[in-house]
Amino acid sequence: MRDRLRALLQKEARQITRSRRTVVAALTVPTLMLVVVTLGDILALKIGFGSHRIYLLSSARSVSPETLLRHFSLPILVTISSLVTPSILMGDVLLGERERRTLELLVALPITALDVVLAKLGAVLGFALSVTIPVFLLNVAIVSLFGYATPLQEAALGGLLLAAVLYSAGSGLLVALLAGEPRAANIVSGLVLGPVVPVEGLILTVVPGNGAIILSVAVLGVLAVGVLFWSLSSASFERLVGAL
Amino acid sequence: MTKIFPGGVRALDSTSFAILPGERCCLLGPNGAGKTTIIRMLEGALRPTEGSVCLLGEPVSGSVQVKRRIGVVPQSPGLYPDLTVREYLTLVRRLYRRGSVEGTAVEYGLGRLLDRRLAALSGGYARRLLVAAAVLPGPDLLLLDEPTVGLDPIAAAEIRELLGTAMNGPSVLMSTHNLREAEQLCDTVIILREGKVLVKERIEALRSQSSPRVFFGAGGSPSRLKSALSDRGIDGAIQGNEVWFSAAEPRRVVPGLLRSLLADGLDVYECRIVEPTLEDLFLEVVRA
Repeated sequence: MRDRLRALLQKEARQITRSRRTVVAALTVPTLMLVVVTLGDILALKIGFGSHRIYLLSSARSVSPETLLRHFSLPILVTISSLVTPSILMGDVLLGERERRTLELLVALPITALDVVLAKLGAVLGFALSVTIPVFLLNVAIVSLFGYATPLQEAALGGLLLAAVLYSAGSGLLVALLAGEPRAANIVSGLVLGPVVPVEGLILTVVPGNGAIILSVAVLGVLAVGVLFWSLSSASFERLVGAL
Repeated sequence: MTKIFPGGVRALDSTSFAILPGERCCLLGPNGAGKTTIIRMLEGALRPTEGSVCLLGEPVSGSVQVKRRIGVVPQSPGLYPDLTVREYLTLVRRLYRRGSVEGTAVEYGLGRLLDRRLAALSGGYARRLLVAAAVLPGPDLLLLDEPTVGLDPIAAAEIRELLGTAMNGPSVLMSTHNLREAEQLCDTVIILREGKVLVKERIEALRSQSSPRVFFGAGGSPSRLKSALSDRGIDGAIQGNEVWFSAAEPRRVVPGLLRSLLADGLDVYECRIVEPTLEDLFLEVVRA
């Protein structure tokens, strides 16, 4: 199985990285969220905008905009930047193959449906992480430079990034397997990913300190394991080619 | 095997057949008869709703070991536009763990196109690639799903020529609409209708069960000729300006009949004996 996976993984990786559109699209949201918006927030704080204090349930008192950036904005930005790309990419590599009828070539080869799904999942995760992690490290550098995050918090945000990428890829895979066509898949993906941000916002508002980020990581991690297990156990060629 | 798709569409209905080692068998049937469903079940893409499918003595059920012994040419698949011919054939070789990329490419006229992207291949060369990929590992069984459909006549003839070579050795199951192609490449036929096997027979045996046709052409109205044949106890049918009838032993019957018609003053200018084609046999079976 390892040989088959390696061969398929290389094919998937080659296809993803050769598509300039995919690379640009994958870089856009993380760069926007983790560099442009973060830098904008920090600069706004530095030049004195947003000096009003804001009331948070977790602290049971008003907090400064700096605290809001640390404990609310940064985790939300990390989550959004990690959620978007893997899900879209997963839908594209799976439903795109079905649409272009290239899955017929894979079905004809001596591989299993699980091989196909694992290779696509591996390629999407590898690509998404290879794009998101460098942008996240840039974000860490910016935030650390201005002294807005501790190493512990950055580590927790790194965990949040991993959990969000896993959940996004897993849910993208599940939706692509269960949905009949791309438009339905896009709508269902939105319904699956959309609630993550408000739920996380609620956790960050209610739970104090770094515990909120750690709880967010745990929730997303459990969801990620659930959708991955569900999608891998329902992988079959009939589902892949849309005959079910 | 029976296959019922979601929505209750019964694509195969208790279909059962066996293909012997070395047999070159074609699946014939009108649209919707279940030909592609059978091929897809054999390659493991679909599971039967009832029954089972065995390949080379083992149940299919997604077994990689069995699939390593079969080569498949799918029906008009898409091609990966970003991969080159070499990359695709290398992927095939790695998954089958045998075969020569360069050797097969040269054999199938793809040698100088090895580094060309699949998106840049013409329809004919794309089909060559699919055939090359199917035969690269030297399979024991070839499954061909309408291998020349959608090609221009020249490309189709080239693919048929390549298939003639590729089909020497392995057992073959080929689905096709092209009856001449079936006759040219296969020796056994399975005729399907509405998911049921109507006939599985050697083409020669099938042909021997059907009588040749004798066509007569004569000056004047064909109905006069038909009437003259009818007076001699022959039930003819008019087709264009000709009248034809089936005769079990035409070479024995026709000379006397011809002499008799000419003696009666009929201007018979043509008489030909036509052996039944696969198309005739197919239409006979399906219409029955």
